[in-house]
Amino acid sequence: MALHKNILEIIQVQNSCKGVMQELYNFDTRPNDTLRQSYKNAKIDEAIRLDILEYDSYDDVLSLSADTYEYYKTRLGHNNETTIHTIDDKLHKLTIELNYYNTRLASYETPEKEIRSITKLLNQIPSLLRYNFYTISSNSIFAFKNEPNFEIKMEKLTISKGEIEQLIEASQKIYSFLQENHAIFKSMKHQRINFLILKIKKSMVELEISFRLLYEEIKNFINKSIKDGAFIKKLQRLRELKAQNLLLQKTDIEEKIAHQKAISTPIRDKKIHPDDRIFDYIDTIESIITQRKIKLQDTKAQTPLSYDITKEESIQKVLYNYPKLHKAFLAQEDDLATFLNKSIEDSSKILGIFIRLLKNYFRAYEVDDSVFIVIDERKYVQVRKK
Amino acid sequence: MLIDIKELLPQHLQKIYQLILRGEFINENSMKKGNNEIYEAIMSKEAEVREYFGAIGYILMKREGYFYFAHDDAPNSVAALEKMVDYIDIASFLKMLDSNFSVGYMFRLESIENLLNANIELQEIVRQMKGIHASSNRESIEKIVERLKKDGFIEEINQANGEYLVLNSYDYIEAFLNEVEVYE
Repeated sequence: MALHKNILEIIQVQNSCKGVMQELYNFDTRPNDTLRQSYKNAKIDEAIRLDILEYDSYDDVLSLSADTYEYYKTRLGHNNETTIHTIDDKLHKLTIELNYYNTRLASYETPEKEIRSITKLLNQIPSLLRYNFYTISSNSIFAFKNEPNFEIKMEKLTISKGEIEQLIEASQKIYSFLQENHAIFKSMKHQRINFLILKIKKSMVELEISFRLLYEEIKNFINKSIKDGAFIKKLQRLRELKAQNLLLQKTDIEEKIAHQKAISTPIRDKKIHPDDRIFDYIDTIESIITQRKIKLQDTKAQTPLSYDITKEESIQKVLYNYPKLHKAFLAQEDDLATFLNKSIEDSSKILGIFIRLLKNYFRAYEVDDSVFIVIDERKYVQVRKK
Repeated sequence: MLIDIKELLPQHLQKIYQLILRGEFINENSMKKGNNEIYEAIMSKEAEVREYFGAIGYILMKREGYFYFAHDDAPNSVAALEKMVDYIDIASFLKMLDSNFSVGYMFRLESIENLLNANIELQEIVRQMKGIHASSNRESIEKIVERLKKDGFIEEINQANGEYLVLNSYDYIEAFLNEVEVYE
């Protein structure tokens, strides 16, 4: 089986192929027919020895071996159709040939032609079993691992399950056929036929375990896929409920979250807003105020009515209650910028408050950065409550 | 239990602390340097690690092929709920895109994009998905992948061809959503 060759054998095959190509190139340059024939025969013998080619000495026919054929079909991705029904055909043809064989014997004729046909048919059986086994195996694995569409995947897996059952049945039929016709085959006393029957039995023993394992594997693939299908349906239902805002009422997701041991949230270094670190700038501010006073004093000296530095100005510092603003925003329908424009008297403060609210409560907000709200020629992205 | 800090291997402790601070999963199938080593270290000293971090309020949670730490004090259930609700759309989208999308799944951006290009229904779903304002299918996929990466559910295993691996921690989302009961 070419698929089962070890790496040394594969290298050997590769080298052999290279050798054959080289010989083909050199073939016509050989000095005479004898040398040409000698090279050709050597390479063909090597290919037969490596199971690349098959030689039928009865018909004198040289052909690709079943293994090579299967190997290249697999390599080319053409190995996706099973031929289990042909096993029945082969058994049927074998029965016919055995009847002809008996008739020939009864008529005292030489059954050479029938022997050739029987040999040929028996020779094809192990390859057919293996070929179908690998095809079902690759089809099911491909369907399970690579088929993105759930329905197609399930259909393919069900087909593969049916096929492996058919193959197991076919294998049992072959065994029964050989048992039923044991006496005839034995009476033939034909070395090649005896060898082929032994080869079939050996293949069947080897493959029987593989058939059962593949059958179990396909069943597991189907079970896993059924679970996947149920999960897909559940996700779709959850998505529908979410779209209808019924997720909390129609599921136990809240309860599940409350009982879940959720992963700890990342602990990030808190980035302090410049306003929060005003004490860092006290010296600078004092210095600015001092400078300003001096400047104003100077100005006053020249223009007495310009400014009275002794007048106490009351600085109204507005402290915004962000949680309260956030709640008020959620309780109405406007977008965030419009809401702030209506709620805050000093429009120059809107941007800062807008940013702070967005930063603090982004999880509760939905941002559409393709829509802009313009207030005092300044653009704000549209932010709405979720 | 008496904990021998030397037994816990200090170099791993430091890394575990960092992972806790970043709120990250510890995956067995991670291909990033050192991650699998930490997983193995926790596996070998699971009881000790649980005891050690339990004392400072972090509970070691063991799941199929991954660990994480949960904080036993005041869980932020609103944030956790929001995250799971967000993932209903993402998990549903990915599973519909390819029913094989689950732990251990490997994909390239191109392959996912091709699947999306071929599915008009999913293109509509992704357009309605919260936080995915994209001008193309490729951009939508990139945003979803970025989110999964940021949340520690996938990792890039080949930068050259944009190949990603779904980490064992994706089970955190799938197992939770699978357990949610729908009252019909």
